[in-house]
Amino acid sequence: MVLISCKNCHKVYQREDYSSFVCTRCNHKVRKRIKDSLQVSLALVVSAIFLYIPAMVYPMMEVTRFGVSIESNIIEGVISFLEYENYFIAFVIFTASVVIPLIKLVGLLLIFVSLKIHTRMSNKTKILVFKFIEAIGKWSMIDIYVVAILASVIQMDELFNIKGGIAATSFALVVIFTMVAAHRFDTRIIWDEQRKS
Amino acid sequence: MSVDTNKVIECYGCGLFIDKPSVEKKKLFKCPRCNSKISLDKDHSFDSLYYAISSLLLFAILNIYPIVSLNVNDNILKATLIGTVSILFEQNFFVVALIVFFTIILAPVLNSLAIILSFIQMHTRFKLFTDTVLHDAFHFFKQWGFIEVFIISIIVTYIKLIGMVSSTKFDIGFYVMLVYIFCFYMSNVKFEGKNVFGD
Repeated sequence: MVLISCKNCHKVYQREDYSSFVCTRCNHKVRKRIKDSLQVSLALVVSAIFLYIPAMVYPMMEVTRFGVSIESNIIEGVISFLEYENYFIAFVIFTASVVIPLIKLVGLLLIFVSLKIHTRMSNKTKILVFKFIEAIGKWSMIDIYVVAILASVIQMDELFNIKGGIAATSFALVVIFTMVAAHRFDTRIIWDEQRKS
Repeated sequence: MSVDTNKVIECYGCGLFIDKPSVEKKKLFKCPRCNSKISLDKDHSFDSLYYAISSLLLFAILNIYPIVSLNVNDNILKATLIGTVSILFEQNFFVVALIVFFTIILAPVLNSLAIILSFIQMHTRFKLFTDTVLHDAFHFFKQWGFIEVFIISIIVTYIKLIGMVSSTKFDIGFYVMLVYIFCFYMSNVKFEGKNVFGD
């Protein structure tokens, strides 16, 4: 006899084997582990890595003042804040838009790779890194919201105007893809892989 | 060997099944193997319903007033919650506009509605959705509602704008939003999704 629980409503069952069945409480399919969790999460992380490049290279915002348009990407935005000695905002934007997405992508990739290649990272550390990635996930949206609020408030045609840049779409997708990847990943397989090896 | 399945709980961090009785008194405990926090079932509180209703009412008020306003050459410029989404649509950023609309408007509102409907369905004979739909909706919209991130973005925008235009100020909408976030957070904290199944 084995124990198996519904990940959706957390009801625990005692069964003969690990074959899937429908939960009597919430009607969702109960499986031992989420199906193709590693493959789907890895595919999303790889897509997010590809999207991270245009998000950093292309302009995030276009500011028009007296008919003159200046486009700036995330890094240029951070540098301009440093030049204006606005260190707090520079730190917030740099952390939320550059560091956090990078930590999420590298962290998730490291966890996924460590399942197939032996690394020194203990399972407890992997879980800790994963929980941290899950917790900080949504905070990268700050820059997107800032651009949206600025664009909505500064609308004076050619005199003073702020528009979103083409990097906004890639950046928003990086955030969503990494969040879905983290949500879709079943951390229990970290311990399964250790048992197998 | 038969196990009382009501007395065990699975840690979704590592897949270990743990006995519940020894930790019954605690609302939160850690898995002995992976150290992940495991939350136990909590009692349903009507406070959650009151907070959810308050959230919805505050959300309606919040949409009337601007969040940030500034004065440039006698032109009063204002930012509203709906305005932040509509401008993205106007500038043809459809994907970003949809993401922003979903995360700051739709998900928080539907989260509060899911809580209110759960209480209505639990305590009356009125059935609009199945228990599964309400349970899933609550968890899904809770995860994808980023209103707390949005308020930090407003503060960042304010600091950014004050450097360009000194007349920038927080408007009524911002203060309503602070109260709204408190009510929204409390409605989620006091609500136990599993209780919609009535077990």
